[in-house]
Parts: sequence; structure tokens; C-alpha cells
Amino acid sequence: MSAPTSYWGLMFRFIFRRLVVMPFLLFGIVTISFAISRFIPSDPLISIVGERQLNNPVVVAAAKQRWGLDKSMFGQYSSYMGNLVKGDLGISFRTKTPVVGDLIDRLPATFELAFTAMFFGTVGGVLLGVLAASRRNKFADHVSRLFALVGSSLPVFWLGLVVLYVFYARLGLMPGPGRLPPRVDSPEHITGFYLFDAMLTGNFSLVWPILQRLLLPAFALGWGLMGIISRLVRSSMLDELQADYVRTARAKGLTERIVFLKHALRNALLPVLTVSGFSIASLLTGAVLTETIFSWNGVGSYAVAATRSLDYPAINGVCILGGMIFLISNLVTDVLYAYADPKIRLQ
Amino acid sequence: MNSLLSIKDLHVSFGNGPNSVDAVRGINLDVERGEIVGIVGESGSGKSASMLSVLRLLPPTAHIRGSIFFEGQDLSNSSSREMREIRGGKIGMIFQDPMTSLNPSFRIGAQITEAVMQHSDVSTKVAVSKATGLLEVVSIPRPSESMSLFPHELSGGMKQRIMIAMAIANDPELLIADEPTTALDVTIQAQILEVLRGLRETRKLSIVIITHDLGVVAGLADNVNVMYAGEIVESGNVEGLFYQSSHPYSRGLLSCVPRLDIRESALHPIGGDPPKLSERSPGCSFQPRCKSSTSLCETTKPKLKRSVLSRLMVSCHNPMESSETAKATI
Amino acid sequence: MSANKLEIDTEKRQSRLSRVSNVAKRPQVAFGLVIGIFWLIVLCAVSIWAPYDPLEAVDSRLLAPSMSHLLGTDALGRDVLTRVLFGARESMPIAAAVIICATVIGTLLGAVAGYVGGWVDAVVMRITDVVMAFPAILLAMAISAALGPGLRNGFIAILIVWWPIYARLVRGQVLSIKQREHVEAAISIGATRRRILQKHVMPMAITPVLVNATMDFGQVVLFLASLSFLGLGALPPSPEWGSMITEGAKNFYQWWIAVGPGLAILTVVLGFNFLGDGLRDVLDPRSKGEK
Repeated sequence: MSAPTSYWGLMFRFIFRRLVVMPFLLFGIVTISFAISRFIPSDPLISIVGERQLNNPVVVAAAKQRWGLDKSMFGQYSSYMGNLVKGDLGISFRTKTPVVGDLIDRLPATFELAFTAMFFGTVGGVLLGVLAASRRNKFADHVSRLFALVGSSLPVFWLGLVVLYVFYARLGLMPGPGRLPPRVDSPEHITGFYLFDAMLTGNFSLVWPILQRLLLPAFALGWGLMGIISRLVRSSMLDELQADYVRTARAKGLTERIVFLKHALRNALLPVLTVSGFSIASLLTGAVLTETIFSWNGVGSYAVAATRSLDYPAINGVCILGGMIFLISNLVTDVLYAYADPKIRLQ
Repeated sequence: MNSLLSIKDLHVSFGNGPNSVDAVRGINLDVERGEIVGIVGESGSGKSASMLSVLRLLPPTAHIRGSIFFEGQDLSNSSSREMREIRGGKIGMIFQDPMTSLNPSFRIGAQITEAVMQHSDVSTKVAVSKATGLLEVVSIPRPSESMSLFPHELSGGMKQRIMIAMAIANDPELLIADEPTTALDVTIQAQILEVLRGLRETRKLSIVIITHDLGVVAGLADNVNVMYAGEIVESGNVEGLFYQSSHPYSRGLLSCVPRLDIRESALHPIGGDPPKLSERSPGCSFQPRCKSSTSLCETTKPKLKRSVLSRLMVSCHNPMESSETAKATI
Repeated sequence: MSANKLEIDTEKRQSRLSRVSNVAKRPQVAFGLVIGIFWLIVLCAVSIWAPYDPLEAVDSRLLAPSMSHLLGTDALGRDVLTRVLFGARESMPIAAAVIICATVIGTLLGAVAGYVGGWVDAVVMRITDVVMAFPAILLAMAISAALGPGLRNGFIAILIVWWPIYARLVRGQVLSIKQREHVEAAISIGATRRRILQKHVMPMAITPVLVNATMDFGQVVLFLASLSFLGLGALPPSPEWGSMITEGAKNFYQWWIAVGPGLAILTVVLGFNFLGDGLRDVLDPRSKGEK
């Protein structure tokens, strides 16, 4: 078979090469997660059995057998891997339900939050960056740069607390923590994204309350990204404005606005794509830290609860999930970038 | 004014205070309709700056003084809107490096169409077909398919032809070409010059060609201006310059070019370096490097005067006689 | 000659000292220096000058800020301001230790991997790949959970998460410097690999490491605070900023408990970020700075 030269052929090879590496990385991830979770010095039996039952040898032995704690380390590892291949991540010590199920239940909440934050951060960042570039070294530029800088330097969980305090507790402008108003049921589950589910099921009265409750956490989470992107856009725009093709555009008689927003911006936005895509990791991090503040029952708060109660199947599961999300989002970002940059696209 | 373009006493400087740089120091230049005028000089001679100031494409740190008459109107007094109408409308410009002068993210068809639609009130469809027609004019093969190509899919020569197509899209009276062939191979260079020549023939297009390459000027221009350190030191008919130049710098330039037909043992560079443009001297700028300089040259600036012998305008206190070995090179 | 190149470049080569003073005059860098010096003083002198004891209850609980308690008191009646100041002692030495160890380990591994190449490089890269495949916080959480809470285990967790960054950075630097001519020249006169690495490659590779390390200092402090916020890392009653913010979350309406530590973290992150920028401009003025 001769080497593919068509666009899709090349793209496929690119994706394929990346996919080939992934199993190795996944293997590494799952093994390390296993190793970590088995290093827990304190006895997981406490959370399984409850302190009072610890003295009862029958109960303890039964629990040990049930949870596989009576096997050797190697034995545990092999049954772990075996289960993993079947898609079984074990049963959470805390919730007593399968970890996989727990994670699937909670993933949409975190994604809804993370994507809204990414949207905020990217769109806001681009707007701010364009503003700063167009008013270079004037007041608006300095203000937006300060805003961006502070945003990416604040601890995100602190920021969450602050905005909640200011806008909810003090000013009463925004609702309190939680995805839904109190005593209101979630919309019928189609995607798990409450916003979409509400719209898809025609439950339009819920749309605004849900959106409202998304705003504060998404803002807290997204401000950091906004800061990074606005600085990137600003510097990228200023670079592009020095380029020769900008001079050509002016020589064609185009207005400054078109030169700025059509010619320069188009090229300046390319790096934004990669930065935005690679921000998934920090958004996940932020989610872990902010979900508890906003009573958001996503993967983040699950991870926190798991860590606090030494629930190692859950800890393990979250680590593997996090690693996978990271790998996949990086791959998707690379693909999108290769598509967006005409120079790469047609190599 | 009968001339199409008439530049009077143009001064261009950058920056302020003691560090300011005088790039152009009082030049006068005329371009008639249908004429091709060359501007020759080294890097830093002010040739690009002078033409960029016509279209006001200089960076904001530039200060421009003097008059630039185009079709009778003084462009230095024009508003931004009037300038935008002229750019790409009545005056087109192409630049040195075609690799970076086209927007890499847009297809070339779109970029040419944009130029058309900026200056005429036509539908997109009409503009596209006009753009395709322009590609034919500049000899791009398979014009309608080429419209959807991206710049990086084209060779340097083709990119430069696209630039020309964009610049003439609205049938300008004048095309300013700032070192259009410097970044290209010699064979491609010939093609580009051919395109330009053709445009003058078919459209009566006036062209100002800026270059440091004497060969380009010889092949294309009717009249030539030699610039040194921001001033025009010699100007006139191209044949006159090549065969009867009298300014020591022009002579120096001509004799720098290695010859294929005469066996020579050494090259003849012009000794010394061009002056720093942040310095101003009371005398002739070329004096430190000039073999025929006298004490007058150090104290007094020469003025452009018509030479009796060559009918060229020369700015020199001791112009060289044409009886001295004039090495004309084509 | 393009219009852009017509602007004359007036930067001359400056002596290092004048460069330092020029850079230090910039407002951001000056701010960073002030912050750095401030916290340094606090670190050294707080136990002498502090108004109260950070661990003892000195007044009624949950008092709002007043003249005697500039940041009020917390849920156990301790002065918040004192605790914020003492908090530097909790996080900064650990952060410094993490940075130093991560830099050393990362640089060693990265330099060897980059220079020697081959299977050594492959192994090191795969390890960094796997470690970096986790979102840092999750990995650190898992490790600290496994080891147990406490600052020492927090230190280990963050170190494990952080060293690959430096390994990658140094490797990249070494790879690009390896190609340069002066290294080829050294090889052609027969210098040993070790000598080349030491004398020719590393001095150039070090600059970005130093810059990064300075900027990372604030990031590590932030990371440690995040771990403490989650209940790992520092344990009560230690006045670590992250765990103080947790307390602040529990006493939501007493805003003064969380404000102090948050601002402290902000100043450290910003300040050292600026210092890193300034350092970069002093050491390598050719790299692109702020426009």
C-alpha cells in the first residue's frame, strides 16, 4: 500500500500514531494509580466495615474476602487489571456502589461546569485581548492586563468563595451554591447536562435558574483561563500587526478595523486554540477545588470525598479518569489545530 | 502640474530629538503618465521611505514634510479616508518579500476579490470573476482553480504575481514596486519584469520601481534616480545614466558590478560605509568615500544641476568627465 | 527595505549592572522585589514582631476586624493577621524545598537524557509522559491520601508531580544547544562528554531553569495551599494559608478569616511571577519581553 497523500489519509495516520501511544500511557496511569492507592497506610477496613464491627472476626473476614483484601499484592493487581479490561473499577468503599457508575453519574456535572468556564475564559479572553491590543499602552490596556494577571494568580477556590460571598451573601444578586434551586427536581435525564436537558424536554422555566447557578462557578473557574488567553491574544495581535501582510492589507485601501479584526485577528487566534484545548487539565484541577464550595456534585467533589475517606477504588478511578480525559483532550486539540492551520493541513 | 506624481522637497524622519533619523532629506521626483521611473540605491538610502510616504504606509513614528502631488492633489493634506480610497484604487503598491506579504490564512482568490470589492460596488460574483481575470493577466496558470489556493502552496514568483494582480485590481494610474524582485531568483525576476512591462504597454500604467539592482533598472525603466543617504544625487534618462553618468557614486555603483565580458583581476567596491542617518553633515554626504572630493565638498552641500555633457541632473561639485573610462554595464 | 525595519534599533550592549538596575526599575519587577523582601522579613522576624501567638486563643471568637485585631479573630479566637503572617513559615520553606529538589532532580535527569539520547532519553521521557498524563492535583491528592496528611507528605506529593516539568525543560534546552556550533567545536577538539555538558551546554541551559524556578515558587505555594484546602498537606492547628481558607469556608459569613490568606497567596504568586520575568530580562535580554 503506497503512502497516503490525501488530506484525510494523512490526518488518519496522524491520529493513528497518537492512538498507538495511548495504551502505553494508559497502562502507566492505571499501574501508578493502583500502586498509589495500595500505599494507604491506614486500614481501609475501617470505612468498609465501620469501627464497631472491627472486632468481629467473622465480619472482617467476610469483608476482606468480598473486597479482595485477602489476596497478595500481586493477586490484587492481577484481578484489578482483569476487572479494568472489563470496565470494572471496583466498588467505592464510601458509596458502596460501582465506581464506574458513580463517575458516569457525575461526569456531566463537571463537564457542564468546565465547558461553560472554558467558554467564558476563551471568549472573554479574546475580547479582552483584542481590546488591549487596540488600545495599546492606554488606560484600557493596562486595566485589562491587570485584570488578566490577577485572575490567573488567584487561588481558584478562594476566588470561588469570594464571588459567592460578594454576589450571593452580600449583594444577593446571584443564587447560592448548588446546581438547582432548592427542592426542585432535575430535568429529565437525557445528556446529564441540565441546561440541555431542560431545553430538550421543553422545561424552559428551569433554563434560567440553571444558567444562573452556572454563572458564578464558571466565572471563578474561567477567570484564570481568561487571563492567560487575553495576554496571549494581546501579544499575538501585536506580533501579527507587525507582519508584512498587514501592510499589504493597508495598501489595498482597507480600513484599520478590517485590517485589525479580519486579517490580523484570524492569524492571532491560532495559538488560542491550543491553549484553550490544553486548559482542560487546569479546569479539571479547578473543578476539584471549587465543586465543594458550590455544592456541585461532579467528579471533583467525588474525588475530594474519596480522598478524605481513603476510598481507594474511588481515588483510583478518579485518577484513571483524569488521565484519560487529559490524553483525549490533548489529542483532540492537536487534531483541531492541525485542521485549523492551513500550513499544516496541507502538508 | 502635468505630471501624474510630483514630489516636492520631501523630508522623512523617524523619531524625535537627538536620536532622530533623517531617512529622506529633501527630494524632488516626477512621474509622467505611462512612464517607468527607477529609484536606485543601497539599503538605507531612503528609497523605500520616500515611496511609502506617498501612500502614508510608514509607522507612526515617521514625520513627513513636503508636498506629494498626485493628479494635482496634495496627498500630504489628504484625510485618512481619502488616502484609503487612493491606496489600492488609484495607486497600487507591491512589496519586497512575497512570502510574507500575503495573509497565510486566506485563499488568494479571496484576497484579490477583497481588493476589488473595496474600491468598487460590485457583487461578490462579479468581483470573483474579475479576480480570475486578473490572474490570467499576470499569467497564473489555471486561473479558476488557482483562486482557491493558499499562499504557501505557491512559489515565490507566483506569489509576487498575485501581489501585482491585487495591486492593479482597480486599474490604478500608478504602481509602486518596492524591490519586487530582490527576494526572487534571477529567472523569476525576468518573468516579473516582463509582467510589469506588459502592464505598461496594455494599461498605460506608470510604474515606480525601487531597487538596488542596476540590471532591473536597465531592463525596465525610462528614467532613473540614484539615491544616496536620503538625497537624489543623479537622475535622468536611463541610457544617459549608464553611459554618461558623472556622479562619483553612480559611477562607483556601475563599476561595482562584475563583468562577464572583460577579464578583471579585482572587483571595484566603493570603499567606506554609508553614513549614519542620524547624523547630518554640512557638506556632501558622499564626500568621505569620494575619490574626487575637495575641501568645498566638506563644507557645502551640492545642488542638483543639469549637466551640460550628459543632460542628466547631477548633485556634485566635481562631476566626473565622460571621457574617463565609463564602465557601462547592462 | 520594509517600513518596519526603518525604525532604528537604539539598544546598545549594556553592562550587567546597568541592566539589572534598568530592569529593577520597572513597576512590576519593583513590586516583585518589594513582595519578596517583605515575605523574607516576615519569615525571619515574625516571631519577634508578631502581635499575638498564632496558636493561642487571645480573644473572643469570630470578632470582626478592629484596631486591635486588624483581620479579626477566627472560630477559635485566634488573631487572624498573626496567623496569616506565620503562615509564610508553613508554606514557603516547603515550597523552596520542593523547587530546589525538583530542579536538581529534573535538571540531572533532563540533561543526561537530552545529551546522551538513546534509550536513556526514551526511558526518562516515558516516565515524564506518564507522570504528566495526570492532572497534577489528582495525582498529588492520590499520593498524599496514600501517604497520609501532613506537610512532609505534601512535600513528597508535590515533588513527584513537579520534577517532570524541569526534566522536560532542561532536556529541550540541552537538545537545542547540542546542535549549536560551539558544541561541535568542543567535540571536534576531543572534549569528553561530561566536560562538554558541564562547561558548554549547562551554563546556557540554566537560564530558563532559574527563571522558571523563580516563577514556580509562587505556583508551588499555591499548590500546597490547594492541597491543604482539601484537607491534605497542612494539618490544623497550623496556620497554613490553604487550611485557613478552609476554615474561612466553614465560617462563610465571617469574611475576614479567608481574605487574609487569599491575599497573601496572591501577593506571593504575583510577586514571584514578576521577579521571574525580571530575572529573565536580566539574564537573557534577547528573549521577548512585554510589549
